[in-house]
Amino acid sequence: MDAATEKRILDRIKDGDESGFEALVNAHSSKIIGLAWRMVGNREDAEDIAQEAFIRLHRSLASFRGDSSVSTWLYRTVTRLTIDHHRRQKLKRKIFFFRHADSEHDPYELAADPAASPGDQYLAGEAVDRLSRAVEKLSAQQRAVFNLRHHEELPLKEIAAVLKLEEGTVKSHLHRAVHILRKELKDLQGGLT
Amino acid sequence: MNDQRQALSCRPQQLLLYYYAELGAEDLCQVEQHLQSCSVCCAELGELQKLLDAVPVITPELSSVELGRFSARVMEQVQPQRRWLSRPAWGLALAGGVALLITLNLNVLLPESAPVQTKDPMMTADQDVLLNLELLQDLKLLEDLELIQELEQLG
Ligand SMILES: [Zn+2]
Repeated sequence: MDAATEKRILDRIKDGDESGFEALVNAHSSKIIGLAWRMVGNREDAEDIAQEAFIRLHRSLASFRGDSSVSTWLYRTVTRLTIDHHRRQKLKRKIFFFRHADSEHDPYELAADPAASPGDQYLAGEAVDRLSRAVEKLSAQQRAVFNLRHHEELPLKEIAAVLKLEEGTVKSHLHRAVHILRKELKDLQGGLT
Repeated sequence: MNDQRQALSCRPQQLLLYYYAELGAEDLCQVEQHLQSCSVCCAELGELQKLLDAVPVITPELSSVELGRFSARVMEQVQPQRRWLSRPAWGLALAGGVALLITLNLNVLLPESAPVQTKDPMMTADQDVLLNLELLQDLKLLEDLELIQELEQLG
């Protein structure tokens, strides 16, 4: 959707005509679900997060000032929601670990989202599985920056705008993320694809 | 290139930015010039490239039918008249009850002496996360309720 069309739809919504909202959803849903999917690793949660982002967009439209594009706004919201999701998952794992401290099972494995069937995982195969585990070692922010730069191919400047961070901070997150991935995947380099 | 010495010194941090084409014209020039004469940085860049090229860029694809279904779900949530029709009143009552229960549980959850906090100082930060990060009004109320109850049982 080009900027002019988007602006027309936004203006109409401000005037009370919401008929264009569905067009906004259709224009952005694929990218937004994709971003959330990569961030949380399963489709069900990704769709929930994307849905929540669009609901929030709808709530904010009346006051949408247009100082960022809808796309940037959605990226920002989805990234925040996935960061929250990531922290919650981590907390869940901690709780699980407390409760099953004697267990020999890997708490990471057992606490995995039970709703995510193997068919839900867009990542498959041993090497790529290693990659997802390595990405698990990243902090929520590092993961967000790495995903946005490496997969979404967003320039660092734009990532800084999306995450409302200084560009220097974004660079540090990226450096740190790659440093960790490198350490985790040392023995796999060249064998990931 | 106005500073020859800087152009010739190793700046390994720049190599990642070089890989992602994030260097400004001047830095780019310096790094390229430096790479011509520094085998250490060349090797380092090679390692970086090998790793990052091997991290597959995967874009999950949804079919148009799946996207249509998603869009319908969103529209159902944002169009009040359709939402009221499709959701029985007891559903709302349940949601209200859940919100109340969560409030009650949080009150139980947060006394300062909760053992779970003394076991792991990180848990304090995580509880802030629980409270601050829009957990309650967000996704999967019931699942979160279960999580809070688990926390409470720990305490
Ligand atoms: Zn060098």
